[in-house]
Amino acid sequence: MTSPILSISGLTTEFKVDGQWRDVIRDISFDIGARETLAVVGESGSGKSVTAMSIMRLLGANARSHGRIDFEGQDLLSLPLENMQAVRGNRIGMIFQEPMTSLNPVLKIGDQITEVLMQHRGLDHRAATAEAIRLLDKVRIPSAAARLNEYPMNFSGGMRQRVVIAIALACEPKLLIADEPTTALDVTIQAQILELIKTLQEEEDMSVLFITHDMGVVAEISDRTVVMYRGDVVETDTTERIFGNAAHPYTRALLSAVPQLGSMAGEPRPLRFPIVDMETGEAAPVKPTADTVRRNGEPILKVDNLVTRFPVRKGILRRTVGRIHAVEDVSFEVRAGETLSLVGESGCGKSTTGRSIIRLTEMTSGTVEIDGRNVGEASKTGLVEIRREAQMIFQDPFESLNPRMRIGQAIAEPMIAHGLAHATVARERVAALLEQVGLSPVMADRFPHEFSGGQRQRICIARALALDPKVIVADESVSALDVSIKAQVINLMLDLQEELGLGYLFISHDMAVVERISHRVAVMYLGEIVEIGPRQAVFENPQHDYTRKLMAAVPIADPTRRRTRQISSDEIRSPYRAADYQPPKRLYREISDGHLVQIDAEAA
Amino acid sequence: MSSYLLSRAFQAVVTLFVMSVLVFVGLYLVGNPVDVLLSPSATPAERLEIIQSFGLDRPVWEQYFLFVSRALTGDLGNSFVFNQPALDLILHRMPATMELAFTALVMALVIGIPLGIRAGLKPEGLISKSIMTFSILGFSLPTFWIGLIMIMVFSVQLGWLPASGRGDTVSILGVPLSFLTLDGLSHLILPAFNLALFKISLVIRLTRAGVMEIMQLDFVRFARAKGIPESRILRVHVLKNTLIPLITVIGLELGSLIAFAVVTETIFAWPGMGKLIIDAISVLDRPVILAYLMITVIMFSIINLLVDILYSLVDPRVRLEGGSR
Amino acid sequence: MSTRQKDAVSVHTAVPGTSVHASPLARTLRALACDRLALTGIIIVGVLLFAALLAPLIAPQNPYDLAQLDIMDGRLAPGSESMTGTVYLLGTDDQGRDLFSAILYGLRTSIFVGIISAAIALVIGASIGLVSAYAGGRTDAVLMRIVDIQLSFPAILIALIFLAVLGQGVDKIIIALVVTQWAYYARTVRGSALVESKRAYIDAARSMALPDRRIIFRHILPNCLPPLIVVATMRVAYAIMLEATLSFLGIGLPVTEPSLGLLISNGFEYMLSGDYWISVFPGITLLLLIVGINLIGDSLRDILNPRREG
Repeated sequence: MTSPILSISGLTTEFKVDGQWRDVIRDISFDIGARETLAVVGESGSGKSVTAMSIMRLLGANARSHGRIDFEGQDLLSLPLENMQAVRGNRIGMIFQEPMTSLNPVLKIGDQITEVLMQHRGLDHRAATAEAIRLLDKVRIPSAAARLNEYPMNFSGGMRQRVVIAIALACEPKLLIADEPTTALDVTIQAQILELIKTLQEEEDMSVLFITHDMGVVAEISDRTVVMYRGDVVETDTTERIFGNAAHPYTRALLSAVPQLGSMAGEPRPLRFPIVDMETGEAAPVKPTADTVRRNGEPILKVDNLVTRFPVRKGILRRTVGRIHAVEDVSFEVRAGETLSLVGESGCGKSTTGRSIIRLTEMTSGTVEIDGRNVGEASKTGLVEIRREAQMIFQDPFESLNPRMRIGQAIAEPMIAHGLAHATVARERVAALLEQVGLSPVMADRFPHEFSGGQRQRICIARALALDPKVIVADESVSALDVSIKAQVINLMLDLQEELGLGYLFISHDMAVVERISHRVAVMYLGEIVEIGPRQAVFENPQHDYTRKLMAAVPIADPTRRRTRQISSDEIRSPYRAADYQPPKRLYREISDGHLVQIDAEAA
Repeated sequence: MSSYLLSRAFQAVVTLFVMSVLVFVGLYLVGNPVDVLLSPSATPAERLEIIQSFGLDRPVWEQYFLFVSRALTGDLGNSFVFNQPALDLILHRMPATMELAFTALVMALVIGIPLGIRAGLKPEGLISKSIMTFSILGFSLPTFWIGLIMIMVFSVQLGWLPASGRGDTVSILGVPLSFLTLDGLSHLILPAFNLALFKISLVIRLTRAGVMEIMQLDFVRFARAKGIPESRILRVHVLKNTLIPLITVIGLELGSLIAFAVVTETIFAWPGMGKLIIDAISVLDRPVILAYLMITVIMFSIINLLVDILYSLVDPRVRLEGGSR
Repeated sequence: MSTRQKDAVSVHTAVPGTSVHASPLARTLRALACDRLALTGIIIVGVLLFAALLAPLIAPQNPYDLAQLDIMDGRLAPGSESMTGTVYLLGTDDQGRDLFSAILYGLRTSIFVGIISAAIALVIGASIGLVSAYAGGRTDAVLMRIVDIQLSFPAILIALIFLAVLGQGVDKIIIALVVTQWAYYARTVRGSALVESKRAYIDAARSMALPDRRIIFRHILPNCLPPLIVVATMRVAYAIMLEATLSFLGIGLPVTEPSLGLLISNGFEYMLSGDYWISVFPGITLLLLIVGINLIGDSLRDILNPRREG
């Protein structure tokens, strides 16, 4: 390695909590060479973002750091704070996770770029404006000059992140710190931004410090990798060696929990994650899954020609001026013991499909049958019966429990409200359910805030099981969880499927997880299913352009399988249509047994 | 935009209608103003004559209809007490009230915003804590009582400032104004500050809450990461986001100041329309009460409209649209 | 060890430092007791409430019993002795009424009017707010437009109009205060109910087919309480202040039931001639009461701020 551009040694950062200093990161040391991309990876609470913020000294008065941060021969920690201003945004650029909130909503995009040019490069307003246009061009924003006078609200998330990158690179910094820059973005947009960062790094001759929780992104982008765990650096090495032959048990545990797209080739059934002990690094043997799908008899969930549209109204008369075609002519079925995954990017209608099935959202037309009973035509009491058969688990375990209800109460509530059990029986059942999801019965009288994210999701699963459902709609149920917790919850779901013969409708944006857990897969785009079939068929032989595009965009947690992509500026299209829009009738082509692909309207 | 204006105008008319019916019928039910107008020794014949001359013998809907048709021509009836057109009475006293309310508003903003920003930037500091304690006090002091205390201290004990009246006025475009003469100004200070005190506290709290919220947002952190000096972050990024929501509040508070002037005018004998309405209520001077109401409803509708338009001009996220919110 | 057990063990270390199993109410009360300003407020309000409740026992004199008043004792300075030898701690008013007693009874009236009007307004407003949030659509639009329009008019103006129509009296001022206040509660409850009802735990409750009534009263309402409590505290203070103001203007309570505002008003004319106590002492009492309530409300607002919870 050439002489490092940034060299951190013995960095410790403390926060003041209730009047006492507590260290959040301890004795961090690593170097970044010129033109190198270094990834800092870790789960939540690992201190990776605090490390980035410490370098920029952005943590404020409630935090203090010691150690050394040498940047181009200068110790940033001993620099007076005023002098940091000349470093920030000038010699070190930084971008954050949330593109939607990183830009000031009431200032024009142009002003937010020119202010940094005028500050650091001493340009006058005219020169700065010309430079701003050049920068927007550089980050591939179409018709840049015209967009300078627009406000952030007119930009999509991906476009905003490009603006943020343009600002960070405005002064040609030697180092770019990117703190989870693609986490909030859809996978195809993420691929664009990653590609953009890679290209710009080469064009600009700069180093990149990339903070992320996503092992796939790490494998895709970094030369070397620092692994952090609960405030400590546990391992630093080249990315190839980290992935190929990690030394530290934690790194190995982490990697074993990361699903790799394509690793399921030849596997007929879903696969549990191997659980690696974080102390020893030893992997427990993986129990193969049983064949749970009940192929004979009626499917447990049957959806035919489901349509859900939301009117968009305007004006005094509340006239319908258009509609969001959230779900358009969707049909599928789920059998007992089977997992069907709905996969797609934001706005594709996968969640609305799930909500329409449970009638949390009213469908526009179509039929949904759960265990042979029609959900749409059900009376109020009938709907109660049906809802017992089909339960839902939501994305955010922090949000889906009532903060003012003890979790025992929360789990018992459906049983008591439906008159299925009185208090004592319900209490026993709660204890049994808690054990079934891997929690202790003594936790029943605690409140949700006393649990971690993974535990809360287990509680939500216990609550869903309270009514003995036959099918569970899991809406992004593991997306908000850390990798290792995610693996555990997925294993739990597979266990429960074996024990109870549950059918899952698994809604997710995460292709790698979907590949791991599903029997069958449906890919959704703009409210429609573009491809559906057995998991092996769809993943090993994708037919639709969109399925291929989606799979190509997924970062693979294996640096030896790195791919190069074209940078595009395509945006995810909106399912908003004029009020008089008539959707075309879609036709499907059968590729193999049960593998259907939508025929492109133009091609047909 | 035009559909927005239309819906706003429509709303104002409906409000006017509802309020006037409510008050008209209410006043009709409550009592006969004749009892107030006549001396107890009046003969039944005199009584009848008065009743007929005011049209009080007709059914209520007919009286209301008469009121509306006259109101449309700008005639809101004659005051029972002063025997002058009620509208003239009120319009004549409006400038004094408006001057008081505007001065108080300016005071509230000029004092409240800087203090609020200071308290929001360093919420844990001693100065900030003092500001907040002051604001709780300002929030809790009853306007009328603190008015009395101010008179006692500054006028009676210290003799610095006059306790009542408007002092010398200068006429600008036929509108008498106090603040342009030294004497008028000295008369204006106490009542205006009295009226402003509550609003100063309010502005401090709103500004502080706004600043504290904005300071935690991502774009402020990003601006720091851009190397923008703290003073510019405050001036450009924080202030604009903080002050935009204040505009709505200012609109509402101007209305509230005009209404609360009732209290201050009573204490400081300020010759505005607040004093007039209190007197009118105590003698049930129906035309004056109704006229006051009509004028304030129209005034508030206009203020709200202006605020909405102003808001949409400064905040790029807001577009005016009829009906929906 | 299997993964299931493993996660179960880790719960004991997952949340350090927090008091385990404490209900949200208990946590709020504890936080309140730890805040010095709030504690000051609680003590002030506690003492005043106590004094008001026990006024007939504490007060040396029944200020409404004209037989006990002696006009010869009028406008005595604080600490003076009466003709009969009793000491007037805070002096007397123009009719020879013991000011200390009058303040205790006035406090009673002020607190009564403030709390009753706030309670009625809360029940009405919160119900309308819940209905509006739950019904949605046109009902919601119409109700909230009414609330908006009403809130664009200052409270005192609406109170003036109602009192002009209704006349004087305790019941009438309570009606006027309810009319001016309900909209605040309606807007608060509707706002937080809408926020809460969009959260996933309500979706979860609905997907478990819980009855609507249960969802509204067991899930949505309890979670709307924190902002409602904050608004209610501040509104009680405001109602007391508004009542005092209206009584001062002579259109609130009748002279026969003097609240603090009326006492201050009575002393107004004597103030300039130096008999300050008739206005000043009731004023200080009123101020203490309102400051106390606002201190509690202010601290509650910080404690119940959702960003600080969890």
